[in-house]
Amino acid sequence: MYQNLASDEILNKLTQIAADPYERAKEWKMETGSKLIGCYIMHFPEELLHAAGALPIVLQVKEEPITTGHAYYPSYFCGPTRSIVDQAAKSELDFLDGFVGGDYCIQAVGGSEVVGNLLPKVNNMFFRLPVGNQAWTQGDIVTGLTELKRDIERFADKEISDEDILNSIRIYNKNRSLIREIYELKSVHPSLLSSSDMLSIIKSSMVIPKEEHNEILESLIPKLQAKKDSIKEEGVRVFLSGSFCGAPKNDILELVEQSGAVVVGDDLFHGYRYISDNIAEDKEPLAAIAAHYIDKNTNVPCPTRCDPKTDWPQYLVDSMRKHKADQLVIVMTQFCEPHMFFYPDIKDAMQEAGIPHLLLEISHELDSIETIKTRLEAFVEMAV
Amino acid sequence: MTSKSDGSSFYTIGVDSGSLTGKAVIIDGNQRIVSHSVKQLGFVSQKAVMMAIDEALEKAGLVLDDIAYTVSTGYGRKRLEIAGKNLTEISCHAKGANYLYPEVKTVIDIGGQDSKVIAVDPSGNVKNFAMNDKCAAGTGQFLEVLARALDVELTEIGPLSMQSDADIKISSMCTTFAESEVISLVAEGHTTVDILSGMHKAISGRMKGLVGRVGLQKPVMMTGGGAKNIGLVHALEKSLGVSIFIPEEPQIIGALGAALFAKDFATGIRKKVDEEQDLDKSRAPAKDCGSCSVQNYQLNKN
Repeated sequence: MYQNLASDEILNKLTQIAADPYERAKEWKMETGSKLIGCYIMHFPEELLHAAGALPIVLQVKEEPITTGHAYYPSYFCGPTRSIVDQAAKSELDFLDGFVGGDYCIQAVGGSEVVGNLLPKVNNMFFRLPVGNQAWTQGDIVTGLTELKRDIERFADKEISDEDILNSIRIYNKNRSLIREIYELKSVHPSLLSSSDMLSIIKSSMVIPKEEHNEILESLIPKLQAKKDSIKEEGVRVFLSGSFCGAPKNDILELVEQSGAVVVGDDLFHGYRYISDNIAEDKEPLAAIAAHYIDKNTNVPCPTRCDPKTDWPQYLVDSMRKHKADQLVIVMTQFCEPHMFFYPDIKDAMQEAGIPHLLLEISHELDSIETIKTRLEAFVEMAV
Repeated sequence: MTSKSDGSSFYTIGVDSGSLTGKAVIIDGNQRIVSHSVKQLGFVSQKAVMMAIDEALEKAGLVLDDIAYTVSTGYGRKRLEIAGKNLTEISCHAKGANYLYPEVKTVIDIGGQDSKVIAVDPSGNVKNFAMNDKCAAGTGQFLEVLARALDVELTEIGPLSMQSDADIKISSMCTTFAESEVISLVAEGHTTVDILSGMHKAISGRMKGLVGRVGLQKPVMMTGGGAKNIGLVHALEKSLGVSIFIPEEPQIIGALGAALFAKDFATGIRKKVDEEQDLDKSRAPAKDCGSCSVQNYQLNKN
């Protein structure tokens, strides 16, 4: 279906899916009669839910102002958690059959609780993901996964075999590998795809069946390969960091490039963070998923994981060098406590490494785009 | 226009289309300021900008065709069709401040809609900057709203506030909330002079936080309309513990920087717009003096 389309047409299709992120999932439910599970941001074992025959989708931030949700969740919590609460409060998530919350950060825990209460007809589950990286951490994560597996089996009325999980891991690994292939292309030819295109690729992967997404990517990649050498490369090389649970606003991403920069790499959740590492296919599945949580945090450290063996600031310095990036743009979600906690260390590391950085603290509702534009342009002008 | 070897008949113009005012500065090839103009008509007013350009040209005895290159800056920088290039006010204030005071290391710009702190290197390049990013509190607009609430002319608030010995604290830095706070203070019987002084202290406290994000390095210059407010300058000096250099006409520093950039573009010191990524494709083509001998003009810095 996608083989005859040009790369731009395929990207447009992915952009449409990302712009209306629940529509394809709703269609899938009608077509298959199977169950949909909404995953609250940000560390959820999609493979395990998929193995039960359900379609897990990552609930997405909506850019519209929060209204009804104000009654249920305070305005000093982050936009991503509040936006999903708002959607639940407006009955926009009633199409879900199941919901999985998590304890990834304090705002996600509270948000999970509120969304759970707002969706009384939806089967509520919770994924307990222990933090740290001690000798016992992996075993604790396996326990959390086992608890979730028990609940999913009850929800789906189906026993999940190791073979089921392994099959799902293979499908999800393929998706991650394909997207990493695109990242490799973009790293060498950064103007081949805009950061909005990358956002659409990842966001669409989060909300439609992975099998379908794999098919789309398999059509897209050869077309990008064919196109890559004709792309003119220009602009200040920028690495994007932050937004590690909700998608950054498209307007902001577009402003980065309109300011005269090209994005050569990122550690966004709706970016490289989501696909940085595969799950081992030759191990006991739950142990492999647990190991994945620890390994992917080594690849792209997450401040919510509290892993003393990883160093996010140093990772950023190393990534900047690896991607030959000139400047770092940090997109921080307003009220994101884990990010705010790490920012002083990141700032020090950048100063020590002599890397200019710009911090953009983005609120859900109230941002002066004009001011952000001026700051981004001035930042890029510094490098010209 | 004929080209003279001393550069006195080679002109560039910098235009700062600010949120509340339009400013224009014309310099000659020797980087001497030939004329300048500041006009206020309303928010990001194109009319004010055109009036400022016309007045600057008139004062200099020039017409637009005499201008070799134009650079625009400020909020409305992308809307000026005659500009060959637009640059942010951050880069332009750094450049303009460095021209007037080459030793300057920190520039504090309090404009109509935003305030900025800029760390400047000895060549006038931006090393680092911080900018108010959420609202217009602590800016010219904020001062205008509060001056109106107190029924005081904007030009009077600085000298009046200097008469106060009181220590009134205005806690809120949101323009709307601060306005109600000021009204409450009036109702409680506090004098206008004391309230104005408290207002300046509140703004200087906020600016101190912005300065802290960049790091205070002396000497410090203040630019923008806020620098014309002696009460605010005094409060800021006290809060930061430094003397602040105020240019004779602080509102034109951005336009001056833009004019200096325009000269760099026209003389090839910086790449012209057609060689760089044009950020606004709808803009009119760059106007430069590529067809005349001025293109090869050698800058005589003395």
